[in-house]
Amino acid sequence: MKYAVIGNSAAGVFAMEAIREIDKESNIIMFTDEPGPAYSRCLTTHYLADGVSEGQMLIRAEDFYRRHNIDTRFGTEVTGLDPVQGKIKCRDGHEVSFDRLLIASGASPVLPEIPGIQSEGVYTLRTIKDAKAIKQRALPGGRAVVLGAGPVGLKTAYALLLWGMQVTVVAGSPQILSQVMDHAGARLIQSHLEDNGMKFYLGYQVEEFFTSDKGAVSAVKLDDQTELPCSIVVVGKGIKPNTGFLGTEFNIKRGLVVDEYLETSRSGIFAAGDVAETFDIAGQDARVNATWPNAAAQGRVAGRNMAGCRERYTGSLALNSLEFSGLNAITAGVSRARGPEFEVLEALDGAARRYRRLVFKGDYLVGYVAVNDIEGVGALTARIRARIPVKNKQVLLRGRPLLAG
Amino acid sequence: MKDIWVDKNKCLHCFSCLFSCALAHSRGSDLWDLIMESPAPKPRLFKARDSDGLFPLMCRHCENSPCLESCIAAAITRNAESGVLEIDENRCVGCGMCIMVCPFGAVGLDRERRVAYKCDSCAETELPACIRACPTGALFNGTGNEYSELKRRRYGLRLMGLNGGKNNEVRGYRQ
Repeated sequence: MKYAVIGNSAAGVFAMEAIREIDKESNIIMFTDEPGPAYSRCLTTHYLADGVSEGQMLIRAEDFYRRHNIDTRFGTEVTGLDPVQGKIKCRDGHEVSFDRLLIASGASPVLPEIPGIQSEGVYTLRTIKDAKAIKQRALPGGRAVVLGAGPVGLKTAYALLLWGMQVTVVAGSPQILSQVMDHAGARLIQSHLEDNGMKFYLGYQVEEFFTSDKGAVSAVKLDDQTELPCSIVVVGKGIKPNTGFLGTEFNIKRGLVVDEYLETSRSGIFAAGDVAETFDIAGQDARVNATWPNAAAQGRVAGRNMAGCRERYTGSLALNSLEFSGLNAITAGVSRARGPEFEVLEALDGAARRYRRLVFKGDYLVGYVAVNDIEGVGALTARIRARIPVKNKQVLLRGRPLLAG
Repeated sequence: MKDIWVDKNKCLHCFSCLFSCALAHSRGSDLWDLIMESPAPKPRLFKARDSDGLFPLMCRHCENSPCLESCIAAAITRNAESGVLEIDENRCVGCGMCIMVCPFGAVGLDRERRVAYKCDSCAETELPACIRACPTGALFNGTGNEYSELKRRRYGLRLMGLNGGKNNEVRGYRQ
């Protein structure tokens, strides 16, 4: 058996470990366009804020690849795939054959088409390389603009703030975290960030990036003609799955479509992580839930199935946990009512910035938002997953959630 | 591995286990030290509730651990010898992912130190502090098989209508 894994982040690493737990002998070959060993992309903002060193970002011990007997191809971009012949084509012209393949190629930041977005000083934050480039340019005391108020945008803005910059966040939606959180919860987090010195322009579009004579970004122009001077811009307008190299041989919708065993439409070829469109438990539909916990769990299940098991993947969930200088916010599943069959319960303590919101569809818990009131909320996540009718909904609203009943 | 089990019918809700746990994980050695230490030492057990009522709850060191998989800092690892899930405080960034996914709510967040904490099974001592502190033997150490055998024996006694069965059913929580 010859295993191939494209991707070396959460999904890839957990998959390789899962394969090796079952199959100690067969070849595993791993491709990544990254130059070095696996690190945590989620920690790039922590690196930026000087919270963790580059070494601390590595998610496995130095001997990981040797101990698991993995043939590593660092710095190798996969440019093509022949699912019929079972062959991978690399940028350098090499071809490698496989019997079982995991596509865990991740996702890339979206760059909106705005005049001047290619200017020097405009970045996205996805890789350690991006983080290093930003850190080199980000001068304490200087001004930064972050486009987008999603989890990545806010984490980046907060890191630049800790780094000593004056940070302004610009987003098109009227609230921060619009994709993952309701208005009231988002409002609490925004107030907290404003208290820490962050500024917000919500409901604004960026029309243009102005540059200095040398070509570096000098200001951002908004659609009401406001100009925000800055020496650095970070764009956090979402991500798109890396499916370009797959050609037309696969079923690609919002992401690479997989079945309940995480196998693609091509037998023996699996997908996991930010590239994969999986079954979403809360919405009971197909979605790309591109967060670390989903990627790792998918990697584990895909790896086991590649090695001959027949394990069902129970499904993914929108899962986000954020921490900003003492404020903790967790959201899972659906955060807003999507129709009349939804029921929302809320408990808000504005002064303490404590908030819990539960979203039910009929008798099922399908999502929650917790700001600062996070003790034991994993039991709520488990309830979303379990899909057992909730008898006493009010009880879940306060304190440590009941484990059953 | 040996787990910590709870016999809910024997539990008096005195929560001596919580105090002794906090003390065992503090820098000091007596109650006075415990009260004075800052930031306050945290018990790694929690007062959990289900439809039967209150009981002490701690990390189950799950297989396919959601916390281990969710940790963005790779701070949670399984000790290959003991099977215990361990949190490396030097790596933990306090992001809260593990709290979000632990189905038992058995991970806490130390807000002052910005690290997650949970039961470490008192790996360095022979018997966990919570078990030593329990005045009624509601907490006990054993393998899953030993626990299951105890439950089956109690159930058998109850079927036969014998005392020792009826009022002493072990109602531990499911793994």
